[in-house]
Amino acid sequence: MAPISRPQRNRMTRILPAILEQIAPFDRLHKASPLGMLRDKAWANWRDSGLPGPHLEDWKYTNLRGLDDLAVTPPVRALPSLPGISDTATAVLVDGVFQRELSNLQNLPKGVIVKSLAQAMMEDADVVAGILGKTQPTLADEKSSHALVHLNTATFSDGVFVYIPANVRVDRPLHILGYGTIAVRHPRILMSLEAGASLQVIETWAGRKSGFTNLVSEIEMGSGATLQHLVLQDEVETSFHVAHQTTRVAEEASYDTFILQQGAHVARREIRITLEGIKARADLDAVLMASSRQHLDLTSFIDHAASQTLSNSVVKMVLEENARGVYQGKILVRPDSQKVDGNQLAKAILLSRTAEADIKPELEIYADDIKCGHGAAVGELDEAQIFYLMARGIPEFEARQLLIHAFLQEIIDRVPEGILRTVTEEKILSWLTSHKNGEPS
Amino acid sequence: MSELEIHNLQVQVAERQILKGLTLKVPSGEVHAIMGPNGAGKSTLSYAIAGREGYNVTGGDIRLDHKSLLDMTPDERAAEGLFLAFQYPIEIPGVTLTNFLKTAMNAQRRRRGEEEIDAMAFVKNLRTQARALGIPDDMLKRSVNVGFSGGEKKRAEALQMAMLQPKFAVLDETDSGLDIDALKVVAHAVNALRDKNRGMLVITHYQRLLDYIVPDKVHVLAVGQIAKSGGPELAKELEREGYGAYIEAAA
Repeated sequence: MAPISRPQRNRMTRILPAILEQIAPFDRLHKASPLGMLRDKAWANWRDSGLPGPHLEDWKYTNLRGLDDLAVTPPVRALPSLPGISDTATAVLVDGVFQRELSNLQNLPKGVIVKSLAQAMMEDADVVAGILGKTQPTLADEKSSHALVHLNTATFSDGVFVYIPANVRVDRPLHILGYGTIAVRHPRILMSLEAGASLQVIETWAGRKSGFTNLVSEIEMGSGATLQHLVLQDEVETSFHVAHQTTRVAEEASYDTFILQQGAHVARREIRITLEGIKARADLDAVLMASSRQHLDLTSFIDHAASQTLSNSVVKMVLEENARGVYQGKILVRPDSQKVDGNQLAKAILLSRTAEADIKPELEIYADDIKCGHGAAVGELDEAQIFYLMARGIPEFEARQLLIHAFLQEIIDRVPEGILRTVTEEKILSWLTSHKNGEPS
Repeated sequence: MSELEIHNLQVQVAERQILKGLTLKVPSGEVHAIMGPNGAGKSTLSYAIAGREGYNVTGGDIRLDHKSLLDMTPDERAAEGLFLAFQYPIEIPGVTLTNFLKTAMNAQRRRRGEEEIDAMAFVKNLRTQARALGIPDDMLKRSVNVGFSGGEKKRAEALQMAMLQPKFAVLDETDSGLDIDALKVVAHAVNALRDKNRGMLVITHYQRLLDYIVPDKVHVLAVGQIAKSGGPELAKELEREGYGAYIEAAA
């Protein structure tokens, strides 16, 4: 009988040696520790799986072709000026490594910790141990889908650690700026908010030249904590960006995230939110804006693991030329989770015949006293609306900009007022001004 | 000066010939009415003048102040001073009436090389005009035409016309969907804009509007051409006799 053929496992053999070279010194530190064991297991998982792709159900719409062909470049000596945001505290990661001199962490409230993750692993070992690797996927059938999470766990050498003590409110937003200069970077983010803590975070991903950012974030929120989290994926348009974030939300805590993806050649942000306690809530709003040869994927999984939890997801896509946008949204309501409210809405505007949107809602509901709904719509700009605006004197390009902006206004209005909303508006307007928006050339 | 001259206009829509040689001249300062049965080509005429895609001019010309409009995009024609009051005004969710008007006015000014409008003067003028039309302040902050009743939509069109001060206005069945009170308000606003330097083309199916906006001349549009022209009494005649004779004659 002929052997069953197994799919070719792409283990990134071309660029992997470069990665391994970087992690050697870090590993010497943690050889026999729990971290060492975690890494060994992760490495084995990575080896078994190789790069995820359309051979897996979860990666049906997204493939990472070309990743292994990225040029391996040495780290850059002199950094260009990094995209800062005024009136924020800043934590800078270059190639996944925390940069103390480039960060600005003055005047943070007492007890707040923002530091290098490698440093935290030594100085705040207990807190770190409680979060690191705790919410990673462990189910056998998910192992392959999350091969890159395992790769990060096996090879990360640093990152940023954020800790907010109980009932501390941080007034200024914290800007975590991740910048990439080498071919492969493995940043890791760990955030812990104790009960009643409150924080706003702006997370920016950018870089110089092509590269691959493989990010893993683990966030834990205590009861009644609030976190408003703006994510700006703004990588160079030839880069690859894969991010996996897990967020655990305790009772009465509230997690709001706003994800704006505009960069990268291929980007996928996967976010898993577990609503673990009564009245925990999550708001997920996302805008994906893609142009020629860009593929943007947002995959979310919201787990209502307690009663009276609430989740609301609104995802909007603007796709021009031959761009591709993907949204996979899963909501799980466990058998004992009653009086749950879980809603999901995804809308896409296609600005050309060759743009494509894939929207896959998935609701897995085991309780009966719940309210869950989902909606999906894919369409074009309305020609009658464009004509009406033009008939009043507004040129076609501006008319399209206006209509796309109006389409996204619903989400802009949900971003908290202040720096977060201002930055979001600016980035959306900037994209609209510099892209054709479907106008024929 | 704002004379609209349409010469032997032929327009195709979805490969069907709708206008088959329409000739019409509206001298500066005059208000002309076009009346006709359904399917005659009234909306086609207004869209062709405004330059909407899909309304293909296969012959003839449209000139505003002796300048041909045919090679101009709709926004260029608006900047030249053309205004079309839509029969079915379009809803634009997410764009407020105020923002829409300001953007339109500034776009036209920019194209004409004029300065952008002063923000405060704009708001003051907008409120004044809105009040005259019975449009409450909060409607100015709502999305254009979203949730507006038929009457409110037509008042909003009249407001836009009052703010944009066009050289030439085409009013496409402005009376459709209006009760008598709304009709009077809109007619009053239109009449307030009558000026020796402004021309208007009022397109209507029913004679009633013309009791309030009294035209200088009336033209009957039947089967893609002007079948007859006359004074305001022609409108009364149509009300009595109907369009039957014109349709038969063209057949």
